[in-house]
Amino acid sequence: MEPLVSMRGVVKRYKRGSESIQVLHNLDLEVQPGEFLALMGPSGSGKTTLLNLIGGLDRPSDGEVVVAGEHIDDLSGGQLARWRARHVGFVFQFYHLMPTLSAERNVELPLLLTRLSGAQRRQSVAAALELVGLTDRRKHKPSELSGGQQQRVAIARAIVTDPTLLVCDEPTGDLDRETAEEILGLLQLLNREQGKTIVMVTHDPKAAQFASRVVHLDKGALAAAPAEAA
Amino acid sequence: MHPLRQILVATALALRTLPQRLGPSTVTVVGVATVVAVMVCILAIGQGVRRFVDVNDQEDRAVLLPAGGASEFAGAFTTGDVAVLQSAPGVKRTADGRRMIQPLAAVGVEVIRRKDGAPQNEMLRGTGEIGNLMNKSTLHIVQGRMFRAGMHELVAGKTAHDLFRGLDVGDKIDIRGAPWTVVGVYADEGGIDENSLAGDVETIKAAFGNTTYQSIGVQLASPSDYRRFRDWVMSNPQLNAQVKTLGQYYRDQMKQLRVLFDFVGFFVGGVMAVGAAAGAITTLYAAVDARLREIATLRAIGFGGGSVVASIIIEALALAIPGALIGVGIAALGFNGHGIDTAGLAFQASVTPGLALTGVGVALAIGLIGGLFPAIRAARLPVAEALRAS
Repeated sequence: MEPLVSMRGVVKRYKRGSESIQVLHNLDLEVQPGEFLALMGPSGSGKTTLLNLIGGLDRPSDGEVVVAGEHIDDLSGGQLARWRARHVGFVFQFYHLMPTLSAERNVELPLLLTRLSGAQRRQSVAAALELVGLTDRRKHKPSELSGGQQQRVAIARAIVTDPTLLVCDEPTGDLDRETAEEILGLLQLLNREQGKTIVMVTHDPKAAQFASRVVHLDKGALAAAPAEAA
Repeated sequence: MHPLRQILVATALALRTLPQRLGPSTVTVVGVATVVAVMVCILAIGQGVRRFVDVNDQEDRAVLLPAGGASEFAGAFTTGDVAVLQSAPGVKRTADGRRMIQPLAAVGVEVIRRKDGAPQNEMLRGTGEIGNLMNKSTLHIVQGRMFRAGMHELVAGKTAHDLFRGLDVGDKIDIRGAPWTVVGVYADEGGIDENSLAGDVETIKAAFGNTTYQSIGVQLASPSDYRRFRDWVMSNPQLNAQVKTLGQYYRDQMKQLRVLFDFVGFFVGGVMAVGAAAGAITTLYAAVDARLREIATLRAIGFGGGSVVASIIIEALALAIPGALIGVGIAALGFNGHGIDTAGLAFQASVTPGLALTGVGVALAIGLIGGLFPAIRAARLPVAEALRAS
């Protein structure tokens, strides 16, 4: 099967003043369609950098990144933005919801970049909110929701366009254990029942247990073989 | 993708957060309003000078001035010169067939300012029956009556009457040791003529011991006769004179004053505008910083950099527009028609629609410049880095 994500010889360097810091070293990685991959590693190991390259939020200094058949390392900023809108749903640690918008307006945001009509958008938003169990909170603003509910809204926003790939950066890092497990359960459900391919960065081994494969990074390189699913 | 929709959404999100930045946003609005109000007020003085002169404009009225002098005080035209002019082409005739040529006197008389009692020289223009026929219909007696020939009588322009003591109807003022009676007050839409006094030219000439006239007024048959008339005078070796239309003469007289106020208006306004733009830049940089993750989230979701740039510039313009309206409103309500008394002249500041548009234009320019740099910064934002900013 053709991998959904294929990274070959990926190098990422950052410039800090006159100093060049290499974060990723000649990294190869593949993610198969329908996989739930957890990226683990200590702070500074490069896991978020790797996730950003997979999600098209950043470009490699060297090497190639192919996602959903597209060489995204070759795309311009504008092309990359359009590619992200079509293919990637993002879930962030701090939710990053628009504080002035209601839950349903937040979920609708990515749909505003599509050609869907208002009625179609409302239908998709309702379906996404139902999937995350927040239909009754659709009119609430983020400040009126708990952390777990806000993350559910963020997940609804990430899946509402039916993206090829879900990219999650420490999605439970700001939640208590019980809520975190609910969110991880939801991601697992999306992976198993909706077939969503998920790449998740986490430092929490318990969170990683919800993934079907775990990849460890250390000092910018892959460090271990895939783990068994939870 | 819908670029316009992206811009609308990004802009709506930016504007929704304005109440959270009420303080800095208000400072920007007030800054822009202050710039616009001050600039429009100063330019309104220059505009008042323009109106002050233009209200007297008569393109079919010519004035002969001394060839080397710019002022109507400086001429020395003889009755012989007036006789030579009788052959000039393009001159209108009165109903009884006389050519409308009026030799004029211009002398200074001392009057006392009402507000501070200071003496000031004011122009007393000597004219005559034909000169009075040349006056526009807007110039009319508002109190008393017109002066009579051969009498020590004068009429005062309304502005002069309001500015100086002793110019009420029935008052007498001393001119060269003889009492002259104020017999009337005239008005002319606040124009420059209202700043002077007028009396009979021959009586004034005699009172001042003059044998010559200081200028000659000519009513042309039509404005199109002006060039023909001027060329005839200029090419006539018997006349050592220059010719201008009455409007041009006044415009030339007021040019320095008008240029000064225009310069001051644009200079002061320009300096203040730079300050206001810097304030807007600071406010919007702060706004971009405050919305860093929000903007980065939009970019991550797929919103283009162009839509973010447009939204921030629109936000800047949204702050500039109320500033412009407030500034123009302050200038129009507080300064339009305000009396200016300077350089021996009194006129009214005039906030015209054109000036209001200039004020709005300056405000929009401030907004545009104020928004552009923060917008570019937001568009260049490293998305991944901004998403992780605390």
